[in-house]
Amino acid sequence: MSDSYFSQPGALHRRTFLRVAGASAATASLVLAGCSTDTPTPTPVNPNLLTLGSADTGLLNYLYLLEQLKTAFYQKVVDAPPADLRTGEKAIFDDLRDHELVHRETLRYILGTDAFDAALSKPLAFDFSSLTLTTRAGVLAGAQQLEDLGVAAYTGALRLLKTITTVSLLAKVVSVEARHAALVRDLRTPGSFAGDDVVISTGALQSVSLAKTPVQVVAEAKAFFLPIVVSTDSLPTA
Amino acid sequence: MNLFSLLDQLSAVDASSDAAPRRHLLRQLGQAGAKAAAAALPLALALPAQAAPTDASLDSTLLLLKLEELLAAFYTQALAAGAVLSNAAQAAVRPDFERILAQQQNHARFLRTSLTTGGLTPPATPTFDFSGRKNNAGNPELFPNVMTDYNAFLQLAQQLEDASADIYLGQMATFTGDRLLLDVVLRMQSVEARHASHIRTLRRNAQSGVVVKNWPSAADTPFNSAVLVPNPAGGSAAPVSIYSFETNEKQVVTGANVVPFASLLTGSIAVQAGAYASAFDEPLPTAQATALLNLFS
Repeated sequence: MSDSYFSQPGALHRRTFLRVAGASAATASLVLAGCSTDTPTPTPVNPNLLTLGSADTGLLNYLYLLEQLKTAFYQKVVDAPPADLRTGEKAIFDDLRDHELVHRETLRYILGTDAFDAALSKPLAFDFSSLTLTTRAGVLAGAQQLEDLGVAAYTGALRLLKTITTVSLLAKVVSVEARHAALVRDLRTPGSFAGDDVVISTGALQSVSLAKTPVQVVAEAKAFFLPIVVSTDSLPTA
Repeated sequence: MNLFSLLDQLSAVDASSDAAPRRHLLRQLGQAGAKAAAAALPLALALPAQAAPTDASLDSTLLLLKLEELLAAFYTQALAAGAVLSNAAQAAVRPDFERILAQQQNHARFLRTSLTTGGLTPPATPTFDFSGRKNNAGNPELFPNVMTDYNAFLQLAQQLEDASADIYLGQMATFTGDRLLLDVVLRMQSVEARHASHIRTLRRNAQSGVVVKNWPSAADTPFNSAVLVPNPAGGSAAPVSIYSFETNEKQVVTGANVVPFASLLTGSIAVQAGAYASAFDEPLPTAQATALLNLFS
């Protein structure tokens, strides 16, 4: 199978391509309709656009992408640990890397040929230039950002998943992700394990975990994907 | 009612969507009221079998309420105990436990409200006894010094919080008929997991030489007083640790389709021994959850 969800030349999933191309054509028509005097400028298909599919497959690809991101982050940390890590912390990062790898491969297995990168010859590279990976503080800041985002992403995605057996399996993953988040938060700022920025602090849902939609999560994580632009347009919202 | 639009409300305005949970409470009202009414019917007027209401999520709500009330009582007692949290040595961590207590109380309040809004009178809060004596001095003390020794307190706290995360996982399946309620239960669960992780960090910091990771692990130092629950084998089989369920390495995708970790995670992506199991938390079944709660009341 030579196509994929990834829109680089030669690797574009046919259905995805048609969807994207169709949208561009529609946009172009609208522009045409509204601007009779200007020369229309059709929206080009972004060759770096990554679409994730629809329904459960799209949501699982979204979670798979985030697990790839976390695995890549921890792999970088364990390959070149900051010199100022404290006793025992390298072992913690080894464990975190392993857990994310197990989660990533679990999602890849569930997706099978539906995985967005099933036909890619090499895995997606991520851009961590927004983080400082050479210091303990920088690594912990990055870990907290990714773990808190991961928990919010899972809790926001599970309610959209239709397949209940998958929800049951992934609930067991979120539980461990929440443990990770509390761990790295406490390493960075003792006592911050369940702060008001990650646990809702008012209203009827007071003290439940903050959930974020795929749109919110991708907006927060977009710098890590560059030059790839991740589209959440095809994902379910309800 | 339009469930999808409610879910949408929840996701759109996460922090202040009071309307959505109330709607689920109304749904609970229907189920709970039907159950109460069925119970009140004379036998002669009993409903046909297939008309009996599904009350699984109601039972789960009651179980989770008792769990949250147990945890709230545990921290309330510990915060008042001079030798545990109400002293200078633990001043730095006292706010952590005040936060955990408040979050448990809010979870209990949510569950209790879901029952009262459903027309049910929630059961009275039990008098919890964390010595394991069940409020009877003649019974053996299963958990000595929990309210007089900080390390003994932390050991029980860790077991209760780990169990809490797992008890929630064990009840998930009964909420699948109401995705909105399932969503809230999932999100309470991940807060429990954060608590469990924090207690494990505190234990590691409080006692040198104690091996305790932030998730259940075979490497963890055994407890002085372990919480034991009935053996799933039943009969006269010896009770088991709550952590016996955490050694599972079989993750089911669907039916007989199990994630083949040993063939997936090889070569440059091989992981350390134990990682297949520790990457997942595991449900504590209802029978074991109920037995655990009964140890303290």
